[in-house]
Amino acid sequence: MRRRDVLLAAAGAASLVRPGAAAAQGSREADVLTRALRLEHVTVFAYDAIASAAVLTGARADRLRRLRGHEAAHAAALGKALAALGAPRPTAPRALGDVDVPQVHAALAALHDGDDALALLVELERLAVEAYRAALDGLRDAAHLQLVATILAAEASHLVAWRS
Amino acid sequence: MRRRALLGAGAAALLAGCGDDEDRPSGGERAAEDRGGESTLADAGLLDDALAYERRTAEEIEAGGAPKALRRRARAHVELLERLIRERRGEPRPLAPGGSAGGQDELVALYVDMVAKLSEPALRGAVGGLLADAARGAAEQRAAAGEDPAPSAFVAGVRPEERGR
Repeated sequence: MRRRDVLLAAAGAASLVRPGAAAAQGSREADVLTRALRLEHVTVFAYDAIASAAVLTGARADRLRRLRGHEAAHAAALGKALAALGAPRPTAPRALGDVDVPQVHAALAALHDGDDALALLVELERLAVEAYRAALDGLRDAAHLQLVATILAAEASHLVAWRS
Repeated sequence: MRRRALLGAGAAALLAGCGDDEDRPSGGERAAEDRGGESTLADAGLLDDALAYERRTAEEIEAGGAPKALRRRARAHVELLERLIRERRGEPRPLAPGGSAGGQDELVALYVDMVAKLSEPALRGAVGGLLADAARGAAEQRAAAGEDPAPSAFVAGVRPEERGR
């Protein structure tokens, strides 16, 4: 029996012995992933709002489009993980009034020029790095941990991209 | 309130939100549960592997005359890992002679693999910080080389066996 199979068998046995604990863990995984997806939704909304405001041009506008694609890919992966757990997916904001992170809402409402946009993008990515780092504490599933780790590393590279 | 302060407050709120589960023990209780067990020794072994990479990286950075901030970051990583190992098992393993650091992308791969193997949840946050720094370092190197600093939506790093492909 391979190591992975042994671990899976042990996890299954533990679930049978303590079904309540397994359910609580599944709920906790879903809770952490839901928080992460909410943040990705807000981030995608912010990227779209900055694109609509047309305050970035040239290479920065290209970068905005490309990194927006990364954020959408993160949201899709997190949504898939939630669906696999049977958990509902949070809805994405459709208007500024739906953005439930007050400080991002305020920054978007005050968006006037490219400097505002760059400051917001740097802070959004910094926020994402810190949130994903905290999410690693709350997750137990190996696949979820690796997904979040690869997103965390991507957000850290975004931070460098917006600072350079 | 300035925008940065507002966003900082947001990060704190998100962090608090991620850590407010009632069924999670506090850090102290969790550490007491885990320390001394086989899983703690296994965690310390993983940290030792990372420490060897970080020590070699720090040596190469020092020898290469890298910017002060990069040298300071490398030393901070070594000190953090040494402390985490001492808190769990005792003295870190001495660095074996030979070998090379392999670069920030290999550190990213090492930490991405490690987070799923650690048994102590609180350690994952610390390793997440090291992972973020390694990913930033790799992105800074790409930017300095005139490359796209953020070419991928999911960053898993480069494993030693993938180097040069």
